[in-house]
This record gives sequence, structure tokens and C-alpha cells, in this order.
Amino acid sequence: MGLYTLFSYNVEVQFKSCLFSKAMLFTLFLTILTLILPFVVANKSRGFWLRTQKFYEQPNIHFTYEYLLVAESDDPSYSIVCNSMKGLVGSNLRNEEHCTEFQVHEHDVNSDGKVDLLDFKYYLDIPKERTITSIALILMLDFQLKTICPLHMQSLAVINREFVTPPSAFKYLGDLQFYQISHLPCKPNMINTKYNNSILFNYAKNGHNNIVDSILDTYFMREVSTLINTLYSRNQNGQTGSMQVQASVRVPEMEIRYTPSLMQELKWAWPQYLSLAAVFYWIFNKIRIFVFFNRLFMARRIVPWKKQSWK
Amino acid sequence: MNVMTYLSFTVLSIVIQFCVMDFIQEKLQADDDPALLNVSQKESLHQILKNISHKPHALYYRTQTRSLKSASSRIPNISSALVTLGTTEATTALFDVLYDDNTTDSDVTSTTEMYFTSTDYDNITEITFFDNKKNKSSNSPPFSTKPKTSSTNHCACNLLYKVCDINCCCDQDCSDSEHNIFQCSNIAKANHNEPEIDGCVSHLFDERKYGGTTLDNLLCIVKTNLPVKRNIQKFDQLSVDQYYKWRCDDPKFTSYEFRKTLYNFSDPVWLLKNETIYYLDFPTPSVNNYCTDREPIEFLKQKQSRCNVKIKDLEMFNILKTSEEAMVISATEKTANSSLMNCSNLHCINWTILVCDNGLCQNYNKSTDEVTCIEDICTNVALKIDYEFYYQEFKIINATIKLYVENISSSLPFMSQEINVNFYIANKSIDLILQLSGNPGYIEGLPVIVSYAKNNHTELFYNNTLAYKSNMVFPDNKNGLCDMTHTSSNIVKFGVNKRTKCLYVHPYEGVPKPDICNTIQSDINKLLKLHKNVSISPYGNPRDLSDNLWLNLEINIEKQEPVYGQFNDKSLKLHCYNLITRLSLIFMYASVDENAYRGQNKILSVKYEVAANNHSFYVEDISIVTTIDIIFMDVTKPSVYEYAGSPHLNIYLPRDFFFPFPPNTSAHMSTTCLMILLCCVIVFFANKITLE
Repeated sequence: MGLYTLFSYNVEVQFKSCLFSKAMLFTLFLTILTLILPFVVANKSRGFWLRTQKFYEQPNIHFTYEYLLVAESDDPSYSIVCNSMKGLVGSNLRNEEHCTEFQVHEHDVNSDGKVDLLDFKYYLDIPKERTITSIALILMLDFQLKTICPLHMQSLAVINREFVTPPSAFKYLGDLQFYQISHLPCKPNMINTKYNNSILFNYAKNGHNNIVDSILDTYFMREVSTLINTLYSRNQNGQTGSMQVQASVRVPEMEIRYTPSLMQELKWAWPQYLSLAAVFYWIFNKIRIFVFFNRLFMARRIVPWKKQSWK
Repeated sequence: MNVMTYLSFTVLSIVIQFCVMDFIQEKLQADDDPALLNVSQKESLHQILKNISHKPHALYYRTQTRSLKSASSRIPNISSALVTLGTTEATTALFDVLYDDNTTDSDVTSTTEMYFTSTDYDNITEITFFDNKKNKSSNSPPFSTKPKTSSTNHCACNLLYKVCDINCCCDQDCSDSEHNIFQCSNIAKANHNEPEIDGCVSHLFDERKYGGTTLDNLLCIVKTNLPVKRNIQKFDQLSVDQYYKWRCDDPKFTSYEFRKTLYNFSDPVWLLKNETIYYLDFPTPSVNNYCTDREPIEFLKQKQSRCNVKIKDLEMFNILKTSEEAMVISATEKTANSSLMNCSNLHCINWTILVCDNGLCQNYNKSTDEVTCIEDICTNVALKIDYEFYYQEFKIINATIKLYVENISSSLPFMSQEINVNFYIANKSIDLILQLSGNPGYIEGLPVIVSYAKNNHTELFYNNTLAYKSNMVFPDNKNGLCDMTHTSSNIVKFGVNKRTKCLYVHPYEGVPKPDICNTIQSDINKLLKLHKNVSISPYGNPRDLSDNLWLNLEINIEKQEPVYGQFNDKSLKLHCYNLITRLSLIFMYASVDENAYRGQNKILSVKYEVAANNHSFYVEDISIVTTIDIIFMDVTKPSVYEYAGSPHLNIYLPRDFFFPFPPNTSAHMSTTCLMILLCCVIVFFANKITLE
């Protein structure tokens, strides 16, 4: 009948030496190597420090009721300009009466408290002697991120379209997109309000440029902005003396890149370091056992079951 | 430690199994008695396949493949060039056939016949591993390099009949000298030198991707449970339907037939013209905004169509013609038994054509209401048409067409026309029927109910038969100008946020009067409905609402800065100060539970705002753009959703509690944390060092 090992424990054999000795120097050297080498290997194999991180969030979007619609006709001197601010365009543009109606709807489709769809409908009255050749629609949106990188900014949704033939209607379906040229700083408990100012409202007309271009130039210089990804668009031909512009903009989940925080960096680096450190610890421990058991350095060997005479 | 040992042994045994055993088996085969080589390839293959057929697993060791290869490679009559090709592909094919669960023995036989009777595998036909008596090819002469007749030998590049094809080495029309020109011997040698394709790897999509030679000692998949594709002997004609193919469906065409029965839902509305029955239709857009299609007007289906047409194709002309020629009919009890279709057997009614202009509707008079065009202005053109059918006692008792006429410019190539089809089960005009906007809460898109009376709003609402009086109507924009009519479509509708603009033009009166600015303001006030107070019903159905529950919108423009003006004789400019040109109505509503009703939209509050500005006019052109803004705010939900912050505990510590560390500096704190962490690591690793 065989015997089975039911329980076992290790017996610790200690090697002791004085502070200033070769054995101590060797031990310190190996300890430092055990600590440093995993870091060097992890760092040299790349990806040790987390440079970038991203998350997905559906932002809170609201239309701020600031807008600018410029419908240009075949006669460049005649444009229909519908805008929310009196001071935005000069008083020479006296065709405001042709902005017959503007309807806005914000839809929360899934009832989660966030706007999922923005519907805009413009009804323009076109003088019979004029035909529309292009439209530029600039809509001001209030954009808020709430979760990981709190952000509050005023952004634009810009829709542009040229017409080859006189249109009677234009339908536009698109998705709002978050566009960033750099990572968000993402400081905890701090809302990023760098761009929380109205572009249209605070716009100061530059005498050399037209309004639409100047607004776009200003907006272009932003690090963080929104744009509309055109999914489908269609215009209806035929000069009917009126025009309907319908734009439906969905608000999907957006990908946001940010610079990770220190704790996130450490959380990512720690498992990499630890996994390598365990390997190196095992290797150097074997070296230590070999060195001390073979008495390559002078050290007292203390075996628990032997009486220590030097004490 | 013991566990690690066991695991190590397990891993080692697996490695031995996969790597070492392979070698051993090859070694054993190499050491086989040479006498065994005399065993026919039929027997060896049969033995191998028999073993496999006992346990038809999807996975098998490559050693078996190799043994199969070895067996086939020991076939004496197979030429080296064909061994490479034949061994790989034929082995694969054989395995495919044998592992096909759906293939019966007879299928196997026939499949092998099919495979082996093909000329490409003539030599392999000899590898018969079933005792198939039908397979007579086993007695066929062994393979030889001597070309066979072109009728039996397959040669893919032999495309010219009885003429030598260039560079076609298998073309038997070519002579040996021509073959020499084509350097066929070199090509055969090159083919012979191609690396042997592993039968296992050939099952994979990309050899390189899966490691090439690394797979030699690993398992591979010979058979999967994917749908059988190869068993074309079981071809089923019905399987054609499972493939995508060109469609030949006829376009959807619904034929309508007068069934001599009472109207059912979605039946077309029938017309009778000279004992001919046909259905009524109206224009609809098809692929663009132009009226290119026509749809039948279906019984009890409310429809709306808006499309563009040229002036000559306006639907009003079609309607006027139809109304003269045809009558609207309804089948009665007598209809079913009669073959003659006329008004004696049917219920016939004539059309009622109404011409509506500026809110007033009157019967159509051909002499006065006909469309006339003078220069480029056409009068009495109806771009909006309403069909109204009244149904009572199983028949249509009234069919009314309302033509909303206006003057338009004929210079426009296209017109946008709107056609509405409505059915009512009533015996009086819809204009005399009270219309609610919800029951009781408002429904989005229906008009907001208002009362301009001082009191008894609910009673007046229910006694009032003229719908427009209970709606809040603002001026329409007609060609940019404010057009205030009773039938204006600019009605305040629940839930519709909109901004409307139009141009107010003051008639030219020569030298302006001193109080002209007040006159202008008075006119604008009428346009913006600022001249009288209004009460708004909180519900779409104001039943049982007392006056104090109605929301009074007291418009007090007296509180605004007084309007005054100044006329400059020299510049002929009129300056008006504090002129109100913009009205903003803000409705706040919520979805509330009221008594037994749940989720009813109730208007909680109404607010109005006006904006006054200074304006300058030339006396010849006193015009100003007025703006009306309407917005509905849902206060049920908060305007901004705030997420709850993470839980935290406020602990108040003495100022010098963290004395050695700099307080309130996040950067320093993180550095300190890092240092503490590093120290912990060092202590953790250095705890073995004892300095006693």
C-alpha cells in the first residue's frame, strides 16, 4: 500500500553575511537587476506606457436655435439669408421675408433622456425670377460629454449643397460626428469648456471675408469640433417658386480619444511589469541558490535543525 | 510542485505523441519487410481506409496521410509527375468521398467511378479499395508515357482540332519534333521538381498564413460539417430556388374590380360614367417630387399628396372634367342582383365643387371661376385641393371637392400642388363639426385650442362651430408678404417648434402722418395677435374645464416702451422707435397623469415675449419683416441630465495631518504615491535580505 503526501512545508535555509561584503554586494546587485530588468524589457518591447485611450459615448446634443441659412441664387447679388441674429448680417440683405418657416424637432427615440435625432425643416419662398443655385446651412449645437471626459462646447453642423438645376426641395440625412485633431486632456472632475462659446453669436465680421467663410475659418481652427457625415442626400428639380430644405441629423455614439491619467497608466503598466518581474525573480533566485549553496561567496549558512554556535 | 510535475509530464507526453511518434512510425515503415512492398496498393489502401472507416473522426494524424502517400507512392506504375498531383488530389478526393456522411456505399462506388473513369486519374483507377466488380478499369494496361488517342486523353490546351496547338505538350496532334520545340521535357521536369504539396495543408486556405511546415506535425481538418457541396449526384431541381438569380417578377399591379357590394375599408371610390364604372384616383409622386403616378382614392383612408406639376397638368382641370362627366356611386342591396349598372341600381351622387378664396367657399361657377391667364398672371388656380367624402347609412351621401384658388405666375415652369383626401362618417360638413386636439391631453401636430372670449371659454368652444376661431392663426407668407386670411395654414400646432417670417408692407400715403409709427405698430399688433388677450386650453379637450383652468395669456404691450416716430424731410426717411416686430410664444407642457388618464400632454404655462427695435424706412417703401417664434418645451424631463457623482466621504483632518507631504498639490501627491509604491516594491523584493 503506497503512501500519499498529505501536507508539506518548506524549510528555510538562511545565508547571512555582514553589510560590507561581496555576498551583500552580489545580493544587492541581483535585487536591483530583478527590479530594473523587467522594466527595461517591458519598455523596450513597446506599449508599456499607455499613450492614448478612447471611449464611446452618445453626447447630449441640443439645438441652440442659432442658425444661418444662405440660399444663393443665379444672381450673386441676390441671396436669401435666414439667420437667428440680427447683427450677424448687414442690413442690406433685405430678403429675410422669404424665409417663410423654420421648424425644429428634437427626438428622443429610445427615451433615454438624450436627443437621438434632430429634424430641421426650412420653407423658403423663391421669387419667380430667381432660381437657387446653392445653400449653406449652419446650425449651432450644444454639445456635452458627461462620463469620462466631461466636455461642454458649442459646435456647428454645416450642410452645403450646390444645385445644377433649379431645386424645389432638398432632403439631407446624415450622422453627427465628433472630430478631434488631438487628444482630449480629460482631467477628472473638471469640465472642459474651452470651446463653450457661441461661434455665431460672438462672431465679429471681418471686413475682408464673407460671413460664411469666416465662420468656417474660425471653426476650422478648433482642436475639437463636430461635422456631419452625409449618409444620403437628394434634391428635387423644378422651379416652383418655393423650396423645402429638410435635414435630419442623427446623434450616434461617438468615439472620443483622450490622454489617460496617471493611475490609468500605472494600472496598464503594472501587470506587464509584474509578469516580467516574476520571471526575472525566479531566474535570479535560482542564481542566488546556486551561488550560495556552492559557497561562491562567503556567507554563513543557517540550517534550522542545527544549533548555531556563532551566536 | 507535484502539480507542476504532473503538468510537465502531460505536456511531454503530448509532445511525444505528436512529434516523436510521427518519427517512429515513419521509421517503422522504412524498416518494413521488403516483402511487404509486394502487397498490392489496393490492399494497403484498403487497410488504411478500413481503419479510418471504423472511426470516421474529423481529425486524423498526418501519419496516416503519409502512410497513404507512402502506399500510393509505392505503386509501381505511376509516373513521378502524376504521383505528385495524383497522390495529393486523389487522396483528398478519396477522403472526401469516404467521409461524406450522406454518401452511401452505392454513392461511393458511383463517385469513385466518376472520379476514376476520368482520364486524368486513369492510373489511380487502379487503386481500388473496394471490391467493386463493376470497376473493370483495374485490368486496364498500366500507365505509360505513350500518348493515348486524343479521343480519350484529356488535354485542356488542345483547342485546335487536328492541328497542333503551340506549347501544348499533351496535344497529340503535335509531333515529337514540335514537342521538342515547345521544350515539353523541360516543363515536365519543372513540374516534377515542384515541392510536394501536403495533403493536410491543401485543406487550408493559405499555407503560408497557417505556418507552412509548422503544420507538418500538427492536427489538420480533413472533414468539416459544412453543407455537402460535392455530392452533385443527388442534384435536386428544387435546389435551383436556393440560388440567387435574375428576377422576373412582374411589377406590383393591383387590379380593382367593382364587386357590386357595399363599400369596405380600402375599396376604391367608384365613379359612374355612361354606364361605365371606374375608380377615382389622384396624382402622387413616384421617384421624385413630380406627379408621375396616380393612386386610387381608397374608402376611409385619409391620404395626402404633395407634388409638382406643370400648369397644364394641374389636377384641378382633371377634377373639373371628372365632376362634369362622372358621378360617385355606392352599391346598394339592389346592385348585387342587377347586371345593368346605372343610377337606378346604384346610389349616385353628383360632385359638390366649392371654390374657396380668402376663407370663403362657394359653389363653383364655370363662367366666373374659370382659370384665366393674363400676361403672366393666372387667376383662380387651385394648388390646394381637398376631397371630402361623407359616408352615412352604407353609402357615400356627399362628395365635396374644395378648390383653394389663388393667383399665380405662369412664368414658373412648375407648380406645387397639394391634395388631401378625407372621409367623414357624418351627414354635415366638417366645417360644422367640432374638432378636438386630443382627448383629453394634446396630441402632437394638432392645433392648440384657444379662446379670445373673456369668459365661458369651454361653453363657447363647444358651441362654436367655426373651427378657425378656436385656433391661434398667424399670417401666412405669400410670396414673402404677410397674408392674413381665415384659412391661413400658419396655425399654432401642439409640439411644432417653428419660426415664421413675413413682410409687412404699409400702404404708401404720401407724406407720412405724425402718428404713422403708431399706425404701423397697430397693424403689426393685429398680425401678431397682440391686440387682444387670449386664453389657452391646457388640454386638447377642454371638457369640464372652468375658466380659471384656462391659461390666460394677458398681452400687455402697454408695459413696453412707447412707440414714437420721426420723419426727416431732407432724407425722406421715417424713423420709428420701439417698434415691436417679433413675437415669441413659449409653451411649457408636461406629460401628466390626470385622473384615470395616463401620460396626457398638458400645457402648464404659456409665456409671450416681444422684441422692440428701432427701424428706419424710406417713405416710398415702408415695410418691415415680422417674426413669430413658437416653441414647446417639455418640462416633464429635466432640461439637462446630470449624472450622479461617485460616492465620497468628507473627512476633516488637521491641517498638518500629512505634514511631510505637500498638501493640495495633485502633481506632488501623485509623485509621492509613485514613490511609496516603488518603496513597497523594493521592500517586497528585498524582504529576503536579512541583515542580522
